[in-house]
Amino acid sequence: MTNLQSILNKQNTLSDNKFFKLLGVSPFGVAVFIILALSPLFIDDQYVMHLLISSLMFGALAIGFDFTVGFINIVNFGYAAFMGVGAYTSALLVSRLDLSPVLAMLAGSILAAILGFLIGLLTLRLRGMFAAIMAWFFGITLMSLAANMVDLTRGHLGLNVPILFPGAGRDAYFYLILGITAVTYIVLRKIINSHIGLAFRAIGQNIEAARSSGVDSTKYRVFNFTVSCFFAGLIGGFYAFFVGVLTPAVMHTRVTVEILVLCYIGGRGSLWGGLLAAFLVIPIFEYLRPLMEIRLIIYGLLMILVMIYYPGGLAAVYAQLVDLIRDMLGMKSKSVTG
Amino acid sequence: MSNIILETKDVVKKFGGLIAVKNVSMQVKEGEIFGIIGPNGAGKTTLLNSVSGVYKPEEGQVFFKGENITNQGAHVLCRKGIARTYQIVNSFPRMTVLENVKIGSIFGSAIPQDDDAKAREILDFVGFPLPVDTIAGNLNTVQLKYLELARALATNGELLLLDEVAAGLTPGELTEFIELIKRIRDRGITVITIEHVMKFIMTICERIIVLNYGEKIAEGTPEEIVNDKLVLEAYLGKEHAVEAE
Ligand SMILES: Nc1ncnc2c1ncn2[C@@H]1O[C@H](COP(=O)(O)OP(=O)(O)OP(=O)(O)O)[C@@H](O)[C@H]1O
Ligand SMILES: [Mg+2]
Repeated sequence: MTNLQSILNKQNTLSDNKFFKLLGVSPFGVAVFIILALSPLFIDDQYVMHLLISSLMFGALAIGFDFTVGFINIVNFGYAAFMGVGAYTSALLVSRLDLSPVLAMLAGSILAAILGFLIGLLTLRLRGMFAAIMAWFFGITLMSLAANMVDLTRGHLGLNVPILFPGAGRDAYFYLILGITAVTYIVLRKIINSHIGLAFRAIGQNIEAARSSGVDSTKYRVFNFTVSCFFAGLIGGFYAFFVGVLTPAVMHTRVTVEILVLCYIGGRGSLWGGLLAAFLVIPIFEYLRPLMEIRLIIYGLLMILVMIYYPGGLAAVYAQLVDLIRDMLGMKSKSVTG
Repeated sequence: MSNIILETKDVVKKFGGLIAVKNVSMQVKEGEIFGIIGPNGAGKTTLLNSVSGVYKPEEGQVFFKGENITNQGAHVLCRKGIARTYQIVNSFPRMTVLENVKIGSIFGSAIPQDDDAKAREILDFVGFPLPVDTIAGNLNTVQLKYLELARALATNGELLLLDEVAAGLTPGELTEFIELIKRIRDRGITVITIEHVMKFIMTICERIIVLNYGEKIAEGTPEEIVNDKLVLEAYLGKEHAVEAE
């Protein structure tokens, strides 16, 4: 038995292990998590830490976005606005009411979830594109509110957010977002692996057949939006404290599009694909900051290329790779989820 | 006299100015195979859609096992026992065959059945020819029809609505399919089927209604229907019907 084969076998037996099943993650995913968790010990460069934090943050946002587009097949074009709701809410609660940051972030997520519930109801009768446009208008409305409620948000002047970890370096932020990302992934993966996930996929692939097979599309769509927006709000709360200044720009459609591109590059319906894509794309774009103006053009081109040549994204490439290795080793193929 | 499982009373369904179903009343008995026929555009599919909760009729009522189910949603009716297939086959293309059927058994059954065993049993029952982990998107139309039928049966419905399932089958497939429908009836399931294939209608249906321009123009056994003058007119046109006599 070759070495590689024994590793793959091991991964299979490990995947069946109770612990991994319970968390809904593969041994490979846990290994990546551990390596990430140890990385601050080896990385001194604060800029690199900053990139890691940004990647995790956008990756986590992509996971929550894919939870909707990758399963019930609706593009939530207002997604960034829900993130912004979480960001503003937690920032204001801490600066105005002196609430503890943890509680504030929770409150922000809950408010975002409530608004997500609302958008779920609003888009209920609408299909694909129309639901996406409705979500988009909703997001634009939220952004205008943030821009115009100057007494509360200071509008475009920017809202200063209290420092979360005074005196601490980037590491504290890193561990916080690593924890948030892990929780986001595990919770959403658990839901997707349950019957609820099956209902989501049914609705996303053929809503008429889903209804006629007993799936309550209303209930599952609203639930999906609520959960997805909850996590957008949570990550938004982190964003506020990490960046330190909030402007309504955080809620702009441009931000949603960036997250969408990560999802598509990563592979829709994989949950983890967008996270992986974030680690590849976000650092590149940070280096290309001077090219800010054409950033969206590059994003658009990237997406077109992916859609044409790799519609399944990185997740599909990974699955093909695993199958290829298995075939080469003469093993029965078994698809692995992140 | 056997029990009435489904009854419609003066059901009307309009699309804008077009009246697709006009005051149709029918009674379907428990355990029978009931046919709905009529020329293209007669309103057959629309009638089934109005019964299964896909459309809400503008007028009239629908009763299932004595309960007024008019205006109830498709997913609710599915759980109450009305299973159906579509004229244009519907599947979940990026799921496996087994998952497709499990959607029916988990969500469509009054008592959700989660185990693979149930889904496999149904696939065996309909004689599905391929491995259960085949992706539905790779199936041909006939295979998709059987898959959709399996999904409908997995919901444990008491009433099965079929919309032109026999269309496009080869004579060999048709014979097999007729046997399958009989076995479904023998399971105690009432079947309402829309069909253009005459061999199918004549061999299998106990009673038939005929729709034309949204109206019910005839009702009876297959023999009564083939000798009905109005029906001949509807299918062949007035002059030809006279010639045929
Ligand atoms: N969703 C819809 N919107 C508008 N008009 C419709 C709709 N569905 C059906 N119709 C119209 O209603 C009439 C009845 O259509 P229906 O599909 O019920 O006929 P059918 O008897 O099933 O015909 P076929 O044998 O061709 O399937 C037709 O004139 C059709 O064009
Ligand atoms: Mg029809």
